[in-house]
Amino acid sequence: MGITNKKKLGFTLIELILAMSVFAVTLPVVFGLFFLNLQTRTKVLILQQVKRNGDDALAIIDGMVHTRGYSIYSDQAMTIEVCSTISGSSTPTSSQTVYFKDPAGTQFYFALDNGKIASYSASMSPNPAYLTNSKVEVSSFSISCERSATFSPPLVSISFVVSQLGSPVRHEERASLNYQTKTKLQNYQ
Amino acid sequence: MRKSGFSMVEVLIFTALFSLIFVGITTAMTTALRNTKSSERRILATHFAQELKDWLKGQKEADFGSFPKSGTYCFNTSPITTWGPNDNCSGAYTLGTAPNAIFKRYVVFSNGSSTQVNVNATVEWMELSVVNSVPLNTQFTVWE
Repeated sequence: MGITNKKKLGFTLIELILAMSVFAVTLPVVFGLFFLNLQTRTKVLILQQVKRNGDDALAIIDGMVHTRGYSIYSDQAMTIEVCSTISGSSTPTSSQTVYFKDPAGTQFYFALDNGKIASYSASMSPNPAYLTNSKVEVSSFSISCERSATFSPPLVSISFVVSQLGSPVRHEERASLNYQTKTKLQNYQ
Repeated sequence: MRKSGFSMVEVLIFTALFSLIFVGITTAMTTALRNTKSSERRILATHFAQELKDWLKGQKEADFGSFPKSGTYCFNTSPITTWGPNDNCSGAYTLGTAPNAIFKRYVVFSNGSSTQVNVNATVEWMELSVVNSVPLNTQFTVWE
């Protein structure tokens, strides 16, 4: 009787092994799901930052060039006017900066400054206004112009790529979006 | 003797509670994961639709004379470099970068005239065998 009583107390080794193996299977699943959740949330946050910065920057550049652009120059001293005559190819061809003059004669231009799009305007302080924040990096930034017909104002092409800061190894932390559009100078002389 | 070890009922209650909590946590996490994934795709889809609209606007500004006034065009590449084939991508969900190469993007032009055209851009993707879509409708007009 003593032996049978002792046998009924507690768990047997088999029962313990079974219980532990159930835990060993289920716990990693729960933690794995949790980790996957965190990864996806990080990705969405980064993507959202990249998209917001890119959308804003393109809208601002497009709007400013379209409404305020009056004539275009290839040098900061504003002596060499470009895209005033008809040419098949776009000017400048490289990633050179183009300078715009607004109807009041004020200069403004956009350039890449340490991975951020900087907007310079002579009517404001000499410090640029940044169109993207420090959480993203802009590359392949290019503004060029071309003119195809005399009755039509110059066409300005804007294009750039917005990516997350740095170069993470894991693809969940990478996000890169392309932006490109063309706009005409509304106020062309 | 009664106080040593668990009774059958105690073990049953524990198991039931544990499995309920476990199922609850797992369901919550799976739902959260699905929603987050879904919003990631929606952000991408919105960007692709906007990208197409920006590119089309550029083409319209460049030359409205040769801009299509009707028909369907597929744009399953990003960045866009040229006009795509004349179809609605025929079920090819290849737009995007891996592991998110799951989109298709096309545009339908209608009611075109010499000064304006209606533009209906659509980005579609499959999620749990349901077609999701982000439509972007606009009208291009030239004032010259």
